[in-house]
Amino acid sequence: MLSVENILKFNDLAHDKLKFMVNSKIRLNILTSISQHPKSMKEIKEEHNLTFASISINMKLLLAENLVIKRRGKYFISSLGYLNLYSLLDFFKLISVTNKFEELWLNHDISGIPDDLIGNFGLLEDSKLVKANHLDIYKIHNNFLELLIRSKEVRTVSPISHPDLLEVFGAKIKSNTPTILILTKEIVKQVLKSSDFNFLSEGISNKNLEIRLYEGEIKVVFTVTDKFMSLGLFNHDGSYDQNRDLVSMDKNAIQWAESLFDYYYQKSLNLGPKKLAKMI
Amino acid sequence: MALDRHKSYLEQDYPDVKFLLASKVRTKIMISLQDNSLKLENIRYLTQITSSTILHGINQLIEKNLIEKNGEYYFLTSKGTILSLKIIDFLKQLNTINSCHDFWQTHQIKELPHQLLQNIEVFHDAQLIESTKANIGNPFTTYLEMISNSDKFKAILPIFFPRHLDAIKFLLKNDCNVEMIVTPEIYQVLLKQLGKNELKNYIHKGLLRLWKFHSSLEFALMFSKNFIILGLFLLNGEYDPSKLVLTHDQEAMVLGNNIFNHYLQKSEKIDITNL
Repeated sequence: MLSVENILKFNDLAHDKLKFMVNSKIRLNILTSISQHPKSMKEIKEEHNLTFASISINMKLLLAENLVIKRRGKYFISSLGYLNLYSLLDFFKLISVTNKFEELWLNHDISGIPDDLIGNFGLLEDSKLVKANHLDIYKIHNNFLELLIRSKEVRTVSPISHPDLLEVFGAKIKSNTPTILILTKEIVKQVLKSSDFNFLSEGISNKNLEIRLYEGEIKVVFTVTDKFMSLGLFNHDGSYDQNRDLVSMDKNAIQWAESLFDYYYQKSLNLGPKKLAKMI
Repeated sequence: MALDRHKSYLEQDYPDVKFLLASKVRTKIMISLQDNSLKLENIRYLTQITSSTILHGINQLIEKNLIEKNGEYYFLTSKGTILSLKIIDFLKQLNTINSCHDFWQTHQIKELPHQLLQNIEVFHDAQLIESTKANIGNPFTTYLEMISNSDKFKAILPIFFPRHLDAIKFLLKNDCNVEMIVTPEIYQVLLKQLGKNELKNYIHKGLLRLWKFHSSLEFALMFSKNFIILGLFLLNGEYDPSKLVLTHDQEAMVLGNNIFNHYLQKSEKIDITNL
């Protein structure tokens, strides 16, 4: 883990290169334009509607920085240019996701998501922010249940419970859908109170159900299945925001949520029937 | 990444990216607030920037909902935290690219897996192991030393050479678990050199797990519990045996596993029945 002081040093070292990359949209357009195929100056000019002079000046700078290579009248992006561009466009992607779902991040607690996964929020670009409204205050809930019913594998991390959800999870287990629930102590007790213990015990023995205990505080609510991922956050005042849910059926977002699930899975304890019985 | 999407990112989000990255002051303020909320004097101490310049930057960041003030303390909003973490990742990436500048520039990069390109910062502490005049086989001997102490070994291999096979045999004979994803060409070499019966025996014992990847592989990745090694192809298409990148970073090992699992899902499992 790097200290803030070291990162600030990185900033000093990298700043000139960084400024060179981001200070000119023309240079970024040139690099993006040749990132897949080499092109001539004329082709770039036509594609971006730029003057020959502005392309020429910036191309010279890109050549001098070794980000572009010229061969037989065509301009190629160099490996260094490609790596720099890739990192920068990944940054663009994150900005785009952050702006697109701004109301989900603002005034919400994101401390339940580890830093490396926050850095990969760009993978959520094809998600949809489902919002409840006064005409349909259960929109999120119903949308979630609908997707859950269609799933063939369910993994949930939650510090909250809802009677409907327990019912659907029960139905999933009955239909032999592999289900893993990572819950706080309070919610495990709630599940035990609301469900038939023999049913849970049987589900665990049949390997359809795994209930895991997360000892700390969980500040995120999410589910990942073979079909979708859904993410909900808490407000800064500690209440759960039932009016917003980030939902995606995109494979990148599902993969992101799987990594988040793995993070909680590693930090949770498996509760077999005996351990569960002790918690009743 | 789809190119059309690149263009739309550039059009829509360029002003925000420029706002965040082109100003050394704003990036420094964001980074300094990453771990804790701070007073102006603390930010000044960390960044070595004058108070008036910092205040100007802070006001711009407050306007963009990236920073808030509580009493004398400034802190990042959730949106500010997201962007600050990404700035840090991005700086680490630039540092990783610059520290092995010549290595990346002289090798094929475009066909590397997206997970690797997206998280290239995990190699920020990596060592470049190069051939020397005194030891032309330095990268390979270093690699052999690393794997000889492993009890689990995973590799994605588009290349092979006889001494490598000896090393793998050594691992298997010492009950080390070996998992390999190889191209069909390498699979044939493995089958021929190791012999069908021996291969079958190791698979049967559960020591060897093997997959065939049916497209081309443009990199070699070898890792165990405490190291990961990356080998690349030169721009002329030949594999470069004279350079390897080695790191012991835990995040790099996690990345290695993710890449391995990604390729594994796209590969054909080899077992006793289809050997």
